[in-house]
Amino acid sequence: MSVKNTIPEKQNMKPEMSCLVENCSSCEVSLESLCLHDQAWITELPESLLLPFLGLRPGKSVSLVARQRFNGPLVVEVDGRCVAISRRVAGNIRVAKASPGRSAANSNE
Amino acid sequence: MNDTVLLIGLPNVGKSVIFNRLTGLNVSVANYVGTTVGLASGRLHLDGKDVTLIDVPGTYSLQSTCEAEKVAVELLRGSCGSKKLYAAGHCGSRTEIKRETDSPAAILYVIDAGNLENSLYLLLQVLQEKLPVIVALNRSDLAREKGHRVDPEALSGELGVPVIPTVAVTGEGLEELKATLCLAVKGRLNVNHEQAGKVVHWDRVADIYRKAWTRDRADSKDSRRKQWGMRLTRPWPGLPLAALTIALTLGIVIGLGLGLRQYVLLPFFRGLVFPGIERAVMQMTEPGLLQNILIGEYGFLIKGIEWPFALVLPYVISFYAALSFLEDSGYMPRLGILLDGLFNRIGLQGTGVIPLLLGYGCAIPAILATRTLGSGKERLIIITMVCIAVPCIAQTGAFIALLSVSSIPVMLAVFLLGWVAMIAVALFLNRLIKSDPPEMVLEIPDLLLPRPGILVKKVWLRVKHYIADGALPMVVGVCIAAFLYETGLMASLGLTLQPLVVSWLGLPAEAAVPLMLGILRRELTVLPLLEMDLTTLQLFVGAAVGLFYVPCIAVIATLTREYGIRMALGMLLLTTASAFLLGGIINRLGSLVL
Ligand SMILES: Nc1nc2c(ncn2[C@@H]2O[C@H](COP(=O)(O)OP(=O)(O)OP(=O)(O)O)[C@@H](O)[C@H]2O)c(=O)[nH]1
Ligand SMILES: [Mg+2]
Repeated sequence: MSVKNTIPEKQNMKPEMSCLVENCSSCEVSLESLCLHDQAWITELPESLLLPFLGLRPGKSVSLVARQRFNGPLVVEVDGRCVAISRRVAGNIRVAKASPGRSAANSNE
Repeated sequence: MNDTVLLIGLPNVGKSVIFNRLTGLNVSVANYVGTTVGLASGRLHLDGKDVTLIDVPGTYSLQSTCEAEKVAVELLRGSCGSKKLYAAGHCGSRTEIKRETDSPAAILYVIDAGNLENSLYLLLQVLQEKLPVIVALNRSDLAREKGHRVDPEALSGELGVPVIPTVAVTGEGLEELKATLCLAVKGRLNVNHEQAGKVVHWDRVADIYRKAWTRDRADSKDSRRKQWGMRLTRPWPGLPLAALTIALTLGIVIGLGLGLRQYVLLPFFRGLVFPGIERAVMQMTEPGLLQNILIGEYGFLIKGIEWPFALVLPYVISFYAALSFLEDSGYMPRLGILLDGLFNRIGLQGTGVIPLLLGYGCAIPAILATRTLGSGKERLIIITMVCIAVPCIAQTGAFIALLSVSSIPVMLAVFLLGWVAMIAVALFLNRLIKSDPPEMVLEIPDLLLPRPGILVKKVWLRVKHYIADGALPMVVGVCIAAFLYETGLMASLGLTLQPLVVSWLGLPAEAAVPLMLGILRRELTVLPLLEMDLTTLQLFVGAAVGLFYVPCIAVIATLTREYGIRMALGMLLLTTASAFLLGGIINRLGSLVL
């Protein structure tokens, strides 16, 4: 499983924002701090009535497709479908770089 | 048991397309979440039995957290009847739904085959109700294109209910669906309620999904459609492309409309129809009051035809052609996401762009579409923006007719003024009502290439609505105007309103008439100005007053129905006050400058 690109794209990055780096495979960070094109696995979700129904469930693989301007939402891809999530909500979603074994079936996107 | 069948499923899976196909009705269909905002019901003829099919707004679960989910649950359990339920069509058409007191005869559960896993949770919840359920595996053409394969037999085996692959837009599979439905309502369907006993959980969903879903191509390259879908969703190149799309849309609406008007409709009416009418009227009537009412200055056989059919109709056609394309392509939610950050600053989510765009067609669907917005505050902001300064397409056509010949800058200034007013109102309301900023969580639909046949049908439907709900009242309005003008009543009305119209707004006294007619239809505040020789400043004042002035009767009625009489009266007061206040101020400032 290769991750396409972990180089921060300057245009969309705040300077203090840390990327999920290659050598930190067990780190858990918030979805909000992923870099463009980063892929990660959801570990924890806030209490939400909508997120699970849009495919954002623990164990699912997500990749960051876009970070909107003007402090707008993030766009993530889950199972080939795109979902827009405001930064505050994304800040409460925890993700990890390493795939949890049990979700191998979901991650071959 | 009664004879209703419910159409249930996640949003944007094609329920309304299936509903239209099965009942022959025409409820709104569009490629984004939350198109259907009210219940629609229609008769469905099955072999030997008639049933009532109900199109339920899409929901994600049955947890009763929002209005749509509550309605779905009530319908499922057969306890509905507490609410005023009606179908929301365009321009006020509606069908009352009779109160349902029994549980439905069957459920038609619609799945997007390309989104199987997420669809299963709600399906398992529906199965708990132990009603006959039939599953339509819809959008199977799109799933196939993506290389997804869903095995209907495996799925059916897992769920214990029939599963039928369909392509709603072409009608594929719908006959089989009807045949199965027929068995179900006659109680001859083998139903296996095994699933109903089990707990609904995502693990079970994943289990069923794994058994029924496979992928054809191991690593298929993204289709062109998907690549464009992504491009339009990213700020680069999405934002510049958004600006381009909006400019292009405006260009098409105005260009196509002008072309139709100038080269097709006006020559047709002025060259062929009107001379004939004039000749006939001259022959049949003596010169005098009656003849003047028919073909004089406001002659309603002339203006009553020219205004609605030659000046406004072209823009109705061009606007809805463009809007239907945007709706069906799935571009509107993308625009909403790109603009979300900016919209947040005026207290809205980016998806507010959808009702605003609808409002440029007609305020009624815009008001109805606000039902899907998260908070009451967002609803209020959008409704106020739409009522105060979003001209409906008929009024826009009138503005173009009034201003495009004499002064394009005035036309641009009027629209600019409208946008400034909208932002100002939103900023003010956002300050006034304190609340947490809205949090967006939104599914972005796949980009689809709209089918020409469907676009033509949508435009035709809206034109039909316009003729029934727009053009006819306009003819009546012109008739009233002709009568007032020819009998001299207009002059005395002008005299009464003189202080306001002449002294404050600086318009000729007869401009009192459009102000009265404007309550009937928005464009009637503008069109009569065509017949008066106005200076540039008067044109600007007249157009600005027309823009801010009261929404039409039908809009007021919709507001009352949706949000109560207080909201409707509030909007009336706000729009009237702002129209006269701003009109007067523009007149004063303008006289100073010019
Ligand atoms: N290609 C294809 N498109 C489809 C099919 N069924 C529906 N669509 C499109 O999917 C979009 C959504 O259809 P709707 O009928 O409005 O969906 P809905 O389930 O009523 O959505 P809500 O009212 O939001 O709950 C429209 O743009 C349809 O043209 C299908 O079988 N194949
Ligand atoms: Mg619908």
